[in-house]
Amino acid sequence: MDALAEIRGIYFDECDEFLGQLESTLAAIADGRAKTDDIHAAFRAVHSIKGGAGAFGLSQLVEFAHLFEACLDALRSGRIAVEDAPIDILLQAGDILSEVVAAARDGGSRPPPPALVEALEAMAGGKPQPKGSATEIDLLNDPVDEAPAAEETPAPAAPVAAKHSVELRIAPDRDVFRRAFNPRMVFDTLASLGSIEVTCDTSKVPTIDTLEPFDCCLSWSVRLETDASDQVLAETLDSFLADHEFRIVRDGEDDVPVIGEIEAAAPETAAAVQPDDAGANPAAAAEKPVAAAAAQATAPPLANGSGPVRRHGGGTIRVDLDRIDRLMNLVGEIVITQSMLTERANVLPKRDAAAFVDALFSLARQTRELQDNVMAVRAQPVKVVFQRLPRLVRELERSLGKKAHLVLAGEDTEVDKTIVEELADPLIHMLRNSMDHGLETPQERLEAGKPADGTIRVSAEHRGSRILICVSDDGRGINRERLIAKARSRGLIPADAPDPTPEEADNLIFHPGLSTAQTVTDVSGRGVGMDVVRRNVEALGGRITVESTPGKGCKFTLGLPLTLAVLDGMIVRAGTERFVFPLSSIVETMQLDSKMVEQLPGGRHIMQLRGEIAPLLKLRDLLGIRAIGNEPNVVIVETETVRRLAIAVDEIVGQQQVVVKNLESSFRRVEGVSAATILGDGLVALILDVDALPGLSQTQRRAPTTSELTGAA
Amino acid sequence: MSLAMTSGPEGLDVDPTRAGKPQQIVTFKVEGRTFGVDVGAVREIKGWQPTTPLPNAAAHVLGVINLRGAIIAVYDLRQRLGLGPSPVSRSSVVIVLDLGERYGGILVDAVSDIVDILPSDLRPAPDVAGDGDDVLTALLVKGDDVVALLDLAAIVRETTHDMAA
Repeated sequence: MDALAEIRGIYFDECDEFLGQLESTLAAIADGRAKTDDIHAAFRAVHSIKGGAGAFGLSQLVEFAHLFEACLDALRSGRIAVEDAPIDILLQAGDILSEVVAAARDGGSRPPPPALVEALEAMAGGKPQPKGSATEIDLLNDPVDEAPAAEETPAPAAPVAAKHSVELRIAPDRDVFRRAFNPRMVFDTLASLGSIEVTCDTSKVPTIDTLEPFDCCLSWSVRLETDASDQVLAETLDSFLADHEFRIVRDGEDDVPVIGEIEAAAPETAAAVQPDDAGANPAAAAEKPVAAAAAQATAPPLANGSGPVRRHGGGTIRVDLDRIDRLMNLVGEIVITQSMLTERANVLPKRDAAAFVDALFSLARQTRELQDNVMAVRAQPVKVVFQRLPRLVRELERSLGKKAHLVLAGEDTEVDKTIVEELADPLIHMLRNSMDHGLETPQERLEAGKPADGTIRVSAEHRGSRILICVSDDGRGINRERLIAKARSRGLIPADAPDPTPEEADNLIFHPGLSTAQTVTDVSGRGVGMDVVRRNVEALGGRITVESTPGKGCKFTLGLPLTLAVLDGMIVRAGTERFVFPLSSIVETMQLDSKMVEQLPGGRHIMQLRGEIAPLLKLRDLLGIRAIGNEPNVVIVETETVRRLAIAVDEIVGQQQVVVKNLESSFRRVEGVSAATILGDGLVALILDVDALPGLSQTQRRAPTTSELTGAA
Repeated sequence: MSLAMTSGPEGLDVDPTRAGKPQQIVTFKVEGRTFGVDVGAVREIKGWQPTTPLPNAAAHVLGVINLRGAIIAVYDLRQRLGLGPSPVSRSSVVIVLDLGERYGGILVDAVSDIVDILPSDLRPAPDVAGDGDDVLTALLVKGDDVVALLDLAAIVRETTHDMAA
């Protein structure tokens, strides 16, 4: 990938973040709980998108973002009170903005709807002019117009001071363009404080052959006629530049240059220089630290309290996912090695073992901590997924003609990246389902004595080692009669069978091919939906349940593990092999009592379990393992199709957290096995796909291979 | 030699017109016969370690092993050639091969040598249907020995024929 394409990729990645921020701040504004910070944040997000778009020549995006920004500016500056803001238009603009961004990313074009543009223009107060009255600055089309910086509008000049002349020396660091610094914005902002005269020092710009376009070799000196205090100026500049990069020189003050030779170099013409023309100058870089220290010492004291947001705040870095994955793998290795050591310790003579075991305990604790910390690095808040939902709801409102109020809770709940990625689809499906099937039309709602606007609540919380996501609505609930009728008409329930219990009826919603919507919409209703959701969720080791109260609403609860990288497992032995059951699917384990087992005609076994009947399968038969023991233990599991399934094993070895290793990538998909793991002795054990086990028993494919092979080995 | 033969297996240039470019192959023994794979495909050679069998896999799939944290499948070449399961002895080795998308190991009796060959030394595998013949891509006559060059993709392939065994 060439450098530009890479930067472009980063830009669009950032756009996603900005759009996410925008979405949540707009939602806050819509809810009337917006603070000044939120409006600033929305403005900054749009502004940053615009900036980058300018750099990549995405004119459509620039135009629209500029217009949007102007509207937000009107809010920000108080020209329009937040309470009076046409929030619908803003929300729509947010949606369109993300479409325009998406189009730009794919190299396409998405002209914003003219009606919206008009509305925005009206809000911004006529066709917005490029803001700021840039006096002598003539910075062409500002190619590096990007600044995810905090552009705080300085407070109107505090205690009126007389107009005075002040000189500002701006000598940015060389990498300043990489921080998306745009000199023009500085000058625009300064121009709003008074009249300015800018002189650019281009003496350090090298010749074209050594020019590094992303280095800044320019420095500026700005003469400003203003009534603003030094503090205001410092705050203003501080939002663009680091402390050592600017300096305010009052008339008559000692004129210490910011960079050594700034005076020696004859100030050149007014800054008609594009930042792109800037070049590298090693000499300037070498002098910088000294100058920086000097500048720091003389820099005016910063305002405290409501000071400007610092650009370097937050202390986050972007890390390539591969690196984190590698780290995660290594931690997995350490966990395995550590359990190997633990096993070795058992064979040491008692006397030597004590100290060794102590050390092992510390090691175990440290690896556990290390693992938790690496997991924490991979953790992301579910907000990443949640912030897409308001937009989805708005789209659905439009296409379905319903009104819904979306309430989000627990957005900061963190889960492993692997889960966050998998969360989006089920969640979107569930939300669609609630909007389409759950909520009634406004008319119906009023008739039922409910407010016309429905409420959909999406919440996330940690529950033990799982995350619970609830999607509930206050709609009509599941129409059980219709589900049952449909299930009967399709032969899913035998005609002579009694009606299922209400819970069973509700759970029919997860049955493939059943959907209660009377009309098939493009939203949902084709009967592929909740069954797909359930299948996907269960493939992740999760569970989904539904509770419905007719007329009152419906609540889906989604329980997922916090990560897919490690799994709590129960290790069992069957024959010579060990297998891992996911702990989440185990109901109980017990000794097998022959009195509990009965053979059905046809050779199949069932087991009586406190009045319930569970099919009894032998793991070694299922997987074709050479038999040794008589399988005196059973593991009772809950599967997708069989509520209670008893699986006979030779031994229950113990419970352990295991690192999940994909088997598909190293071999192929194996029926009955979801993944593999490495146990403490370094050997591989297979993690069972419990839901596939009943299927294996039906096909009963005999595989001689494994028994022959274990014989051979 | 046959000039009609113009294309060879991947990694092995069998084109006689380009006879000048020498290649290296790793040779090893199975049931007294000598086989070879291109040295570039060999990642490492390691001693036997117990495999974890996979349910319902083909007969020549021994199972999976832990290769420093990665899980790789190990195949029994003897079984694949239709010669029955390999007895495991002290000299048994697993050759870890790069199969393109993944690594895989083949169990062989012993590793013999690394030999330099010229593509012009290669002869096409005889087109006679027989168990395991589909894994051969070319033959190489080296002194008294005949070295059979293997098609890696074919070794690891699980056909329905194998499944039914």
